[in-house]
Amino acid sequence: MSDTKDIEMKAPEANDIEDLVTDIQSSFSLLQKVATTFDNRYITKLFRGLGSLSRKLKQDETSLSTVLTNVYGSIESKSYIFEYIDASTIPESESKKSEVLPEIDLYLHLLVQLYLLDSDQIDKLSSFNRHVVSLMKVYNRRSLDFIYAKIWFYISRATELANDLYWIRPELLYAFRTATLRHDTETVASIVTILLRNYLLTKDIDQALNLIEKSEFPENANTSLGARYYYYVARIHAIQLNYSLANECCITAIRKAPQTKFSVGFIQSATKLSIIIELLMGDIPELKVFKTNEFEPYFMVTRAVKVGDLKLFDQVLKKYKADFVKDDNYTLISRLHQNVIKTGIRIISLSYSKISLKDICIKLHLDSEESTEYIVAKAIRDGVIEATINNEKGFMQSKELLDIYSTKLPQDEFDQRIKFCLSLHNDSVKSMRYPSENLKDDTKNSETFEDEFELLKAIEEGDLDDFMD
Amino acid sequence: MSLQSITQELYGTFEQEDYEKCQQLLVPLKIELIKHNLLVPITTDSTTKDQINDFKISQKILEIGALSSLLLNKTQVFENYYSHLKPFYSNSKIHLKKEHNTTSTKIISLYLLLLLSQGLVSKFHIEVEHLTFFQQYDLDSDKYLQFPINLEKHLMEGNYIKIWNLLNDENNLPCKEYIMFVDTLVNALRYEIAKSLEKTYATIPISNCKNLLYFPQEESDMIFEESLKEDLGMNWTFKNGYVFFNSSTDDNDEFKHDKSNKIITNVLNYAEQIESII
Repeated sequence: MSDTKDIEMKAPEANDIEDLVTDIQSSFSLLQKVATTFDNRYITKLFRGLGSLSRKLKQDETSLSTVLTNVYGSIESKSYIFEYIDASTIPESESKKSEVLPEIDLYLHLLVQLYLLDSDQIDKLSSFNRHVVSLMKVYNRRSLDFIYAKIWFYISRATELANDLYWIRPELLYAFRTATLRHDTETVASIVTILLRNYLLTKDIDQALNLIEKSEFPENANTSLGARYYYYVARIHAIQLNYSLANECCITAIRKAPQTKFSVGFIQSATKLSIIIELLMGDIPELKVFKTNEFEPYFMVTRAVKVGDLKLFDQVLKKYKADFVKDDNYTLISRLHQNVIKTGIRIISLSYSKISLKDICIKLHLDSEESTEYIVAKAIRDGVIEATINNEKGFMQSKELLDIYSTKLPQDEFDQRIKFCLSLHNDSVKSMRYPSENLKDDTKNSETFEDEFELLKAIEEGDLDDFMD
Repeated sequence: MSLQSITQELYGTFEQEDYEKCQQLLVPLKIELIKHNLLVPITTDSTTKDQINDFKISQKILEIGALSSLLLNKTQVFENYYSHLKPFYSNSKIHLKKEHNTTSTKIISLYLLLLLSQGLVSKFHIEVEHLTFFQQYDLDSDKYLQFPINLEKHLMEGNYIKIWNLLNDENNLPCKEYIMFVDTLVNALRYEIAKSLEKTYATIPISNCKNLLYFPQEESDMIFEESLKEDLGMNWTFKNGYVFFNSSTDDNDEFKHDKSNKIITNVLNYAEQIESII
């Protein structure tokens, strides 16, 4: 990540301050359009340029202050904003504007946030955020929804970096309530994910669980937010031993994640989680999942589980403990201990139709014959193997394999696939966009048409820089 | 009576192991704590040394409450005390140093044990996950915390013999409060084993069955059968010195009916969907 940033940063060096100022100011016209038309797609377009804009902002600080003075000038109530940027070069501006458009107002706050975040001034950012939070309570306009969502994201990012996670919770919950009442899906989605992340960072699993039980994630929210949401939900379910549900959510998360270079980290951690969940369910993930080096610890764990070797598993666990702790997966992985034994038993039951308990005990490095009997019995009860134990003679006998086509398993499998296809079809029909009636009359007006076209193009390219962290 | 004097009295009675009296003392004491704003540690309050010391004292009071209610076998009350104590334990200012084999870890581990004995495994895991967040608790080496964690691990593996050995030898228990749980845990253990036996064997000699379930061999078959039905709710038949497990075959008809019903609803659903597409 940092390498690519460095390269990109060299390019705008040649740009003048003037360029950046006009850049920012030209975005105001877009914001004005949003304010009058209430078409939030303009904001989507605006945010697409946010990534490169923030990099430019870091380059030269003066332009931001220039813009801020131009807009806020001598408005008394906004003077606090200048404390947070390097205000030494403020040119005295004569223009007096009585009021600033709320869209522009918040957008500028967002830019200040970005600037502070990029230049590592976390303390300043934290105190600035408190101003922003109170400011956001003032406005109530639908056109602000997207900006709100974005601002909340950066606020929570700042609290994470400052390691001060608790103060923001009541604010988030308050904002969550108002956003829900206003049917502001974008902000709701954003806040739910932020809250979940906040809870998970402090390991307050029960609170996170309460949140997902009592709230509903808006269906038509941004997909990248959806991806994040499902990832957190998967994690919560996994901790609760609810593996099949966790697996579903995890796969949805990976599918929903945008395929850009910014989301590589997210996909990686989601894949790691999915590997563990699959192992916990007793499945072995496919080899192609492990194609990059990043997954080496997970590959080793999978191998240990696959051969059912307890000793190897313990070695791997010890060797890579730091990696697992870093990924927050250590407790989940240490649960795999029992799965190692179970796969061991499964392999034995597949290869032998009849085997004495003593041999199983030796093969799996278990402590005693008696414990072997219990463990095998438990495996049978959990449905890992189909077998019976003969207690008097002390052997395990595998049952003959059933004809799988006489059961309802294939039926269920088909049912699942058909349902998936049908819902895919339905979803794609639902997400189609049609031009609205009054827009058709306007098509003669070439400017609007061009605008519309550009917007669609922007949306099609579709990545949001949300995954930058 | 002032806060100090009751606290002193409480310490005294707890030392003398008069737990009933402790419970009585705790009621006015908690009211006093509320009056002094000491029942809930608020982060903004716990800045000066004195305040932290005050909170440490109120934590100690609550810990005595938790332990004494547990020793009187009032698990509900114990749970209440635990939820009071939780904010204390997660306050990093009160618990600055590493907690190793202290009263705090003891109470946490007792709570974990309680969850296990009630079969609330997912809640157990949530609690354990929560603990990993705090630097001051060392899950791998604390003798109190190790106990329930190992227990859960063996339980999931089906390594029942290890649990039996752990529970049956009082020297293995880290402290006397654990004895309270032994009975319930043994019962839970037997239930687990019985469930496995049912699935694993078609039939088994009664004496072996007693062995596997850790019932004393001398116990007569009648009593054994009784206790199976009473404590574990198992419905097994005894014949000629063998136990027969009743495999459930009688609900097969209903099952088949269910199956065809399901296929019909599925197919109708597909038809509906496809029609809407066309």
